[in-house]
Amino acid sequence: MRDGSAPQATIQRAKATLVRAVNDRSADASWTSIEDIYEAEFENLWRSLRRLGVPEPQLEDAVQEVFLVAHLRLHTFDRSRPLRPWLFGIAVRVVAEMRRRRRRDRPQGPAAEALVLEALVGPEEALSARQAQALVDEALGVLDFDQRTVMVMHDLECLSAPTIAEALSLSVNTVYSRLRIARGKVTAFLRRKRERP
Amino acid sequence: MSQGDDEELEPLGPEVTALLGAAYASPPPAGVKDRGRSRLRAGIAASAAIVATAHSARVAAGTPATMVTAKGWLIAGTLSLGAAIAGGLAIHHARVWVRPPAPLAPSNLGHDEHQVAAVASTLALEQALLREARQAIAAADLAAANRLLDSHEQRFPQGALTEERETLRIIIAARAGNLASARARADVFRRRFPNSIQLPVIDHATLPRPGRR
Repeated sequence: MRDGSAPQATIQRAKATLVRAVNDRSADASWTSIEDIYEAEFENLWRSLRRLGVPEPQLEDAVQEVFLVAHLRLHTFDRSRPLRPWLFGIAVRVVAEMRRRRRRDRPQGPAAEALVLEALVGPEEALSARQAQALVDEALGVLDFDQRTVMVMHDLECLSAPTIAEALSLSVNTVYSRLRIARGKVTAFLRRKRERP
Repeated sequence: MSQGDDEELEPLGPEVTALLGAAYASPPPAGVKDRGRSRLRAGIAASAAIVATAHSARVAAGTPATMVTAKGWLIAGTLSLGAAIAGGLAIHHARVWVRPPAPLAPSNLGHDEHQVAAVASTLALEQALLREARQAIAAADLAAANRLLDSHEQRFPQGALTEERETLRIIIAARAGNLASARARADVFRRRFPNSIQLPVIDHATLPRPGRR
């Protein structure tokens, strides 16, 4: 029935676009040292690294590594640009390097699939954060790292495609195409899970 | 720029959006941030010390100055730092340290000051190399001195201390008893740097000495 109000999806999309616009432009130049950045960004970076698939036991080292690299590269950072995408770009490279090493050190086992999804019986809103997390972990686990990175940046970190492109040195079209593939895979995965829990 | 970028995409379903929003909500465990802060400080201190030490360590070990990862990212070899302590970090970073040198005290500097700091630390590296070369000459280890100068030449072909490097080459040739070579080098040097402050040193080094022709 049409009552003149915008459909939910449109509102949601407008909201996301707005958040992205704010995230893209919030060049917070109030910091003066890497320690200021650490204080302000630690929690966010921790979460970003989890989203990128860093296993829990390696999170601490990964965070440390990102801040150290950021420290070494801080003099190359353009302060008129927003900090967060830049930091995220470093995080992506650090995680990629960790993954390479892990692959080299020991073969990658299958994802701990058994952990998940027993709980996915009720409606979505009944899921606890932990269950939702396990499910999202698993869903993002079906993506390759490049796709995952783009989807995390766009749909979880709420950054715009042009900002992602800049942070990762990609073309905007590549960002969109990876994002499309990633979303398709994740949505299909979740649909399958719901049909055959 | 970001306005309307979503128009090109199918929106995610509300269920997926809700799910993504609910995930990763829990904060880092207590104590991790404090621990990380201490580690970061130790790592920063270590990386500052490396500018002065890693270079000569590498030269001594004969390692080429090309251990840079793609795009100059300084991350290779620095992971798996589960029990990282300052010293450990220093070693890891020393292994991958390459140009550009770290700013001397990056934390509190503005952009221009960073450039100055970068130049200053490059000069410090040059000086460190030539200092070691001089010490090697003093210890009569001319081969080692030449290797150090090769290394300087490789890294800083047009460095601020090029004249000093070439002067040391001439001195080494003369000390090795190869006066002809020293003089030939000196001739090249005079043409290349006619106003050099090193000329008196070169003149002296290439003088015939008793027992040497």
